[in-house]
Amino acid sequence: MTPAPFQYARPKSVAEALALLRPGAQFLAGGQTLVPLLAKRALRPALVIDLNRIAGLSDIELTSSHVKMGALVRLEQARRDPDVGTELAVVRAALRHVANPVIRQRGTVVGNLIANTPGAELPAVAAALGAELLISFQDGRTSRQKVGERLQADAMATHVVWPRQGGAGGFSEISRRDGHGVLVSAALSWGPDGLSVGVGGVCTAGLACPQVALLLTASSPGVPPVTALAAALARDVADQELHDDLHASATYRLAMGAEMVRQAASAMAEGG
Amino acid sequence: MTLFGTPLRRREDFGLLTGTAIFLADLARPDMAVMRMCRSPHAHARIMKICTEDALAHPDCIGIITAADLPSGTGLLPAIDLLPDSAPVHQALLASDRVRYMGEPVAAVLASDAYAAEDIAELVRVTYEPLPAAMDTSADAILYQELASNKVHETSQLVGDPDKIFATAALVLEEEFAFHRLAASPMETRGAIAEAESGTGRILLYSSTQIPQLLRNEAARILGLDKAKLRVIAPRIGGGFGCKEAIYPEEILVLQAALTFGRPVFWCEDRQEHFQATVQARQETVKVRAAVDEQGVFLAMEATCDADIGAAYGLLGNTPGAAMATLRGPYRIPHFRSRSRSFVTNKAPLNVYRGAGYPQATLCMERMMDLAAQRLGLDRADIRRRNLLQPDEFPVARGISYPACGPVVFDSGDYPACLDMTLDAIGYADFPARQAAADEGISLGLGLAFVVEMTGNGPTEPARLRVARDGKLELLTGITPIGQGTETTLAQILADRLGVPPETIRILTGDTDDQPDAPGTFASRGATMGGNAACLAGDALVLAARHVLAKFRGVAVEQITWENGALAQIGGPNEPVTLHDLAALTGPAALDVRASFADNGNSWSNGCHAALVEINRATGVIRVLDYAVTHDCGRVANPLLVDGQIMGGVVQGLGATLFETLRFDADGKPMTQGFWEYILPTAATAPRFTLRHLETPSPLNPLGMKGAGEAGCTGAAAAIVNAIADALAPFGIPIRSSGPFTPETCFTLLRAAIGQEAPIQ
Amino acid sequence: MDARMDIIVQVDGRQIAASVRPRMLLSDFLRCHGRALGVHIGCGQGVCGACTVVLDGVPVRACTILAVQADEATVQTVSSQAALEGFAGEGLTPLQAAFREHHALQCGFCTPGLLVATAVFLKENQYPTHEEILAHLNHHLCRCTGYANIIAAITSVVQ
Repeated sequence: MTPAPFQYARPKSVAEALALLRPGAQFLAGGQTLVPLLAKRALRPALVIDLNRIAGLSDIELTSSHVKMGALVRLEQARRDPDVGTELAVVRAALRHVANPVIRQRGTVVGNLIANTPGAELPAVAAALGAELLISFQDGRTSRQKVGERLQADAMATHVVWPRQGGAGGFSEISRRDGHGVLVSAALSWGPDGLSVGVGGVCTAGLACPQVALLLTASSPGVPPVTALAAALARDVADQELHDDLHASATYRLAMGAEMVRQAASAMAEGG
Repeated sequence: MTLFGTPLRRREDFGLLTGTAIFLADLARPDMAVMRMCRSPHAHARIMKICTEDALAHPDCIGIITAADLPSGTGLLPAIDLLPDSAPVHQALLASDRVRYMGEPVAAVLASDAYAAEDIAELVRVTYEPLPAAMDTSADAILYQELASNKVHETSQLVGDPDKIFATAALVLEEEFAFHRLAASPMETRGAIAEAESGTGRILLYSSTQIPQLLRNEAARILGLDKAKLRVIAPRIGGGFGCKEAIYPEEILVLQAALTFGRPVFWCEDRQEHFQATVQARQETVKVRAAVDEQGVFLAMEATCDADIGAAYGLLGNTPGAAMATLRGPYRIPHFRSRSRSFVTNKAPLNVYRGAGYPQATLCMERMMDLAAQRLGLDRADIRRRNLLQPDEFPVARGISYPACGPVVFDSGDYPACLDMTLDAIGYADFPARQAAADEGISLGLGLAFVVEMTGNGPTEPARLRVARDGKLELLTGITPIGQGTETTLAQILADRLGVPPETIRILTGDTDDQPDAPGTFASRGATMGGNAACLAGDALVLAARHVLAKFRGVAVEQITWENGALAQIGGPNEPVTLHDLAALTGPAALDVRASFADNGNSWSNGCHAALVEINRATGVIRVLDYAVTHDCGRVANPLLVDGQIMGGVVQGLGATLFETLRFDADGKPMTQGFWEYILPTAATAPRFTLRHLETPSPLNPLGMKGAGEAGCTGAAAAIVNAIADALAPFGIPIRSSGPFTPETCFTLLRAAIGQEAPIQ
Repeated sequence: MDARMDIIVQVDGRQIAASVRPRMLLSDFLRCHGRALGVHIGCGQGVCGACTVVLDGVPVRACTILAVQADEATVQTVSSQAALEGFAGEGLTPLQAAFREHHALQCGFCTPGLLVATAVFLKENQYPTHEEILAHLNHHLCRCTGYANIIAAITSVVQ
């Protein structure tokens, strides 16, 4: 289990990293997703661009409307950050479940979002909040895109921006086994615009669930029964492709989407 | 002070804790060629062509071996317990015209390092013509053209007259149980190294193997080598559980490669290869019928088993038969018939895995007990009591014999006491109240399982004991440690026997130079057979020493005694003479004895398991909260180590029941190729343990010992499955498989029973 | 194509200078060049934790890191267990002794990575609750012990 041969570069700036970008290149940040894929030879990039020496990408900043995290912000760093705690309670809650403490010290928030593993915690939160990636292109342009949208080959995600929430957050997930192999995630967050809900693992990408949010808001502070939540979720996924794989079927995932929302909402209602 | 029975801490731990213990991969050196296998990407295919040109052209390629390159007369891999009419489906070292499982070795490439080896293996171009794959025992696709079907082996057992009983029975229960496929999955994968031994003309083969002596014999046979020129060494082994109790192509091929290319060769599989090509376990379906009277006494049982043994025999070809032979467990059930059939399929070969058929037998029997109890409205403990063999019936000849065991005769046990101890440990009497008071949305269940299993099988076990130059006693044993604490246990037993401190004894293991002929490490035989052999050797050494000193002093041997770990002379000089002293006087040659311990039959350990599970009905998640085991392995040499074996085995059984399963896609390719897909149990999933010991010594060996290595695993699946069935009983959900009972499986069962639309309250 | 790079890595207090290909994994580098044979490869995918080492003070799974990423860095393996635990004595460290005392290892293959990870965990959580110990252990695979004794060993060190 060794990687196929590749060239390696460790640029010192975003501009340098972008200049190196070419077909067959892969960015390496935390490497917790990428390196195992390289080792299995599931990915065979011609060039690995190591971003870890680039200064200025490790900060968590507050803007008036967002929490902005650089591409080298580690998962554990984000989990412990006080601003994340106050402004993005749902992100902090979700991060407790991501991988494990050792992986989190190396893996990055942006890397995790780009990997976008079905069921994963942060993509579900990103869908709920409408988080966006800040993109820099090789030709000097910048732009933003929603998490989950495909990253273009001549682009690098430099930051993720999360809309500031300020209210309570709730998160629940179910996995193949406690702490491993997350199947379905549900994220809830009270923000300036009300309640946002997102689920992961029901569709292939994280999904914002406005119908579920409406139902929860209407029932608040009570929590609706899981059957009502399931009906609302069914409306939210109506036009989407459901995810089905070796780990869990679409039927189970859909049912768990509703149940995880219920659990997260109940915990939030109890102040948990 | 007696050491036997004390929780002595392990001497092995120093090297393991400091990371200085030498495992197979630690023996790699830069001058070794690295071997990597090219493996079939198809479950079933004809090999049309193998093109090695591009691979050979790689600058780091040392050479390539295909089937065509093997010397003519190269043998096939063995299966050691077959019947005369078993079909010949033995695996070759390398596939030649056909591949029969994904991962089957087709070529071996040698390179200067592991990275290049993987590059070069990818350059070997094999042209395949895929064939339909046989993925279960009823599949049409035939694996071996010379055979009419995929059925390759059949055994049966008959005790009494079951037909007569079935004809008139008050109650006949019939069930079919499905057992899924598992991987033993030790944390250390397999590996082997071959190199010429400096100056002796011999060749050294290192392998992470439980059976170095058998490996030596078989490697010599397969390659036509002079056994005397081959030495096999097992280094520290990182777990085996039966999957390293097999003879594999790669460990023979490193030998061939070393001979062919004249240099040392290193091979180590990665985890993905382990899931593809290391032997797999347990898969079979069993149909059971039981005739039961109104009091719940089982009068007759009948079982047929169809086992999915993969593409070829593993080393043990008869494991499914062994399971069926012992289906009745601890229960009298005087009339019994079983038939076991093995079918080849396009999966990696099946072999033993901790419990070796007993887990399946136990699950079938214990489910039938619970089902009978349910039908008759009897308490589950009571129905078992009515069927258990009683202490005064021992020894109990079961009227059954099978190749790996010989006649099945239970030597000793107090099964009713064992049951009672476990019922107490799990809180059986209080459970109904606890079950009724479960939180909303939670179902609790309690399951029992009684295990009887063969251990300590012989027929013999060698031991050599000598005084080393540094004065220590050296015990050369044929038992190879795989994590169970062999060195500590044997030193403890021998030290206890001789009355010397255990630190004065060194245990040498895993080297065919030390023990050329020994059965190996499996079937929970290590401590029992190794310990008894050690004592035999200890006694022989003491006798030899007494003779040596007597001769030296010109007195009769009766004048020389052995007391407090040293020799003394009656009416002679007061100072005791240690063996070290004696060796200094007379030279060590006379203080070197060999013994061979022959037991009087296999000992049968037993245990009663109880599992308490919690099911979250909203998600289907199952947790095993509490687990109690009363285990009887006769006299216990080291209770700390035995408890460790029990707990480790239980958690393996828990993993098998809740998480683990090998899955294949429609084309027969494994979907589980790593720990992302094959889910192992972890600390948060382990239960709270209550362990109790019962000791009914075995009369079959002087130490009165029985084995303990497998018992935890053997009972856990049955206990947990019974607990799940108990929890789901109010919903009328039948439980007929070994699982895995993943959250989705459980959730789906509940939904089907309650109805799709109703909320799972 | 994949030209070698010269790297210097401090491994358990020794300076290791080597010329490696970029694709070389830190786990292999530590074993081959660093002679740190206590780094065990259980899965090569970052799941089992057997290859856990400390890289510039941070615990990592060595099979998820490229060797070239450790250039100019400091790595500690189980050979540095005393330093990791802040133990100045001789012989087994407190954790190692507790593991032995509680029979928290059987085949020992998973043990070094577990010891390293636990040393770091206890540095940051001096008095962990039972749940916190379980959460820490929950990401290390052990096939032999059934975990109960490992939990007991760690608990005994904490008290």
